[in-house]
Amino acid sequence: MKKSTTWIIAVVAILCLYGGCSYNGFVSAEENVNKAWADVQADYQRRYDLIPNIVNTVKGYADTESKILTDVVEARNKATQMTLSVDSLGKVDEAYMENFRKVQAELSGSLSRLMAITEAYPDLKSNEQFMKLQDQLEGTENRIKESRKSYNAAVQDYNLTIRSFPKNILAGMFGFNVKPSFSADEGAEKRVDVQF
Amino acid sequence: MKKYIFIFLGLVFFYFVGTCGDEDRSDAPAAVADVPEKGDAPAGVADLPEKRNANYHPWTADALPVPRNVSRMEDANYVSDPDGILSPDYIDGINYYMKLMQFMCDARGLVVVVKRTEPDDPYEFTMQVARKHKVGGIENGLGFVLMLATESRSYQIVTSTTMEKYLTDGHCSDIEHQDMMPYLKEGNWDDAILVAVGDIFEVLVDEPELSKGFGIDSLGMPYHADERGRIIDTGVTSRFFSSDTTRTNKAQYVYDPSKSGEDEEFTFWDYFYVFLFMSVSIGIVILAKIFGVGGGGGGGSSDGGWGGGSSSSGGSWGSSGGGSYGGGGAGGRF
Repeated sequence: MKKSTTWIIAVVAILCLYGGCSYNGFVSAEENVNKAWADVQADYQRRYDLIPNIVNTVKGYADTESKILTDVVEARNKATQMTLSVDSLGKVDEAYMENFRKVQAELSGSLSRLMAITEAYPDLKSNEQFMKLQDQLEGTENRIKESRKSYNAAVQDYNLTIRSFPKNILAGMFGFNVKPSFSADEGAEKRVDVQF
Repeated sequence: MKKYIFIFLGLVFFYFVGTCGDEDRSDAPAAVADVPEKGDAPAGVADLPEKRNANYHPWTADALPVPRNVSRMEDANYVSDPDGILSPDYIDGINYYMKLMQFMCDARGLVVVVKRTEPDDPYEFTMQVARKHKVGGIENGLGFVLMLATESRSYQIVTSTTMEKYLTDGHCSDIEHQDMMPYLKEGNWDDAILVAVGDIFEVLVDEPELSKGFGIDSLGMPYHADERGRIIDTGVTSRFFSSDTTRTNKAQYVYDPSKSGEDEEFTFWDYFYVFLFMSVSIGIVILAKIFGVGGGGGGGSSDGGWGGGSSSSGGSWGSSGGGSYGGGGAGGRF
């Protein structure tokens, strides 16, 4: 075998090995993103499951607040319809993610308004079941926050991996695309004025 | 000339192979220090920074002194009280419950009592502490952090993801509102913390899956009984108080912030890359021999990106615990 052929084979072998190592890195990073997204979905689902119990409990004490109760139920239904499966995550663009975030923010807003009206009903506030649900909701919101942080960290790691040179060349060849991350809710950057 | 070409190719290849895979390994923490020998500074919270009393600064998760790791259960301390708020007798009582939890259920906890925290939000601060030190059993990840800030008038319990199944948000809420709150309103911090830790202990011991037959008698001594209540292990009490006694070999009583970091564990792919590295280096050497270059190859740094990871070995606890925290628990202000 000619020496030049041996050299070519050696170089090709090295490139193949490098490509293999890089591909494994892409897969590993993508699986981390998928797992993080599944955790986010699980925490959001936990919130969806809590809402009917909260609405029913509040309805028993604050039946006149039907509009707010209806808003919460509608926002919940809208949010549950926005399914974002793991498989579609790679095909989802920033616009879809933004829409998802808005729907969740709308649900959070309606829940906040619901919690605010309970202040006017002392019997409801002291209801043991309602207090437990409130605590569970607080815990769920914390879990959502943490899982979103973890998801953003996983996405950052993945995007960094596939965008770094020279791996970005291989990432394009293997079909690994940039994934969107969660951004802050609208108005979060604005200062909150508290008036007593 | 050919020898240098082979060496250069080897270096280039080792660089690329070393940087592929898990990029995080380049941030592996430094080597683990030894467990402190007897005669060293006593186990417990680091010296109170007296200069802080003059101009008090709220404690951050990074600055919070956390009890040192020790190898003997009788020296273990699970309470971080840098401002000297709790009484020594109550600290002993809290530690006793914590030791029982670790001994019986392999659940690790940390109690933090300070005047003020930074950030002021109790949840944020407690989560930072829990994540920094990964409070929890290495094998099962059962862990919790109980925080009380007396001047901020805030409290928080956070549980690890595996602990959430047993110590639910509802449990945490009940412990805080029903048991802790009366003492907190009186300013009785000692009883508030002690009753909370006692309640957590009862929750865990009542779980057969966790306690596995372990219990405590009327004198507070641990025992091990079967389903019918018959004592099946008469040496439990003595083992609990003896020097080298834990239910797991990878003992980790307390947490040292200087040792915390990502827990680096070798996976299948790490071994695969090492095998690949060795195979290719041997192949290059053989090729060099064939072409009459002689020697060469195999050079380059072996620290390609996966070296230096600290793994917890038996008896050493160099990396921090196994708890991962997802937001469970409850808290508030009083």
